[in-house]
Amino acid sequence: MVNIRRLVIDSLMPRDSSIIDLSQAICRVEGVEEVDISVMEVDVKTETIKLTIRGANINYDELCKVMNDHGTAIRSIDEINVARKKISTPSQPT
Amino acid sequence: MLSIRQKLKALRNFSGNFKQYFQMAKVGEIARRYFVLNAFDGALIVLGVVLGTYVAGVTDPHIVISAGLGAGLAMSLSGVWGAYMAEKAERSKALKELESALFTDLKNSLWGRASRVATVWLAFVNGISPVAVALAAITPFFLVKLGLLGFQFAVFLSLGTALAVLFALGMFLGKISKENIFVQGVKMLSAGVLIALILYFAGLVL
Repeated sequence: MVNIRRLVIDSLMPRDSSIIDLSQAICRVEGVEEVDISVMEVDVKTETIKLTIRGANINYDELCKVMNDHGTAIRSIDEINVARKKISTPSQPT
Repeated sequence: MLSIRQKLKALRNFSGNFKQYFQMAKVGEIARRYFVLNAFDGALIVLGVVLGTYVAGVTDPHIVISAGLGAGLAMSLSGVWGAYMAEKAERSKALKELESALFTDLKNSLWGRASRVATVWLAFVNGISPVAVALAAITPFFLVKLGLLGFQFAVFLSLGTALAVLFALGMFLGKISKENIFVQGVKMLSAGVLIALILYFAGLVL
């Protein structure tokens, strides 16, 4: 099983939107443990933000849904870290 | 079946969502403005109807109730319709502009929902405020119909209620603008006194 453990996303959000609300909503997504948001650029109606999301197994589909719901458009995924979860087998008695 | 705790949680989420929609759509300030404007209109219209019928020599409470309520309801319907259409047009325009800036569809997002909720709420506030004030000011005439008050006393009570509403609206505005609430109250009240004087002298002339 392959788990997404870290994502760096470049997005565009409405200027009047709150990054506090957005970060809290993302933190409630299944598998997310930590969210960092940095505002990179401010425009008249929009803000360009960089999100760094960490977790044991981030549910990407739910993450996209929450971001879309907050009017945040994903422009690109700049970094990703995935890991294959080892399936532990019971040790054979010797 | 939902337990009481689940129902309460759902209700809390529902009211929390509305609070968020209102903040996003900046409803508070516009709703206050609509409320004051239309309540002011409602109070002045009832003042006009009550004084006008009194000066004309009407002593039947049914006529005053019909005229006052008719005017209030017409204002209410006009308020709901006008505010809904105007808000819908303005908010659709703003949403489309935001969509084109973000290159995305926002109709089903929080922004789209906030826009729709704000439109309906503002239309409701715009519609309910004149009819609520009209009903409050006309209530003494219902008491006349029930035989609890005399007509003359009901006229003064109704005028007093309308003037008290005007004063309260002024105080409310004073509180918002953080100015002297009594001065603001008197300023609003003066509009009511002015219309009363005009109608009184018009009645003398006619």
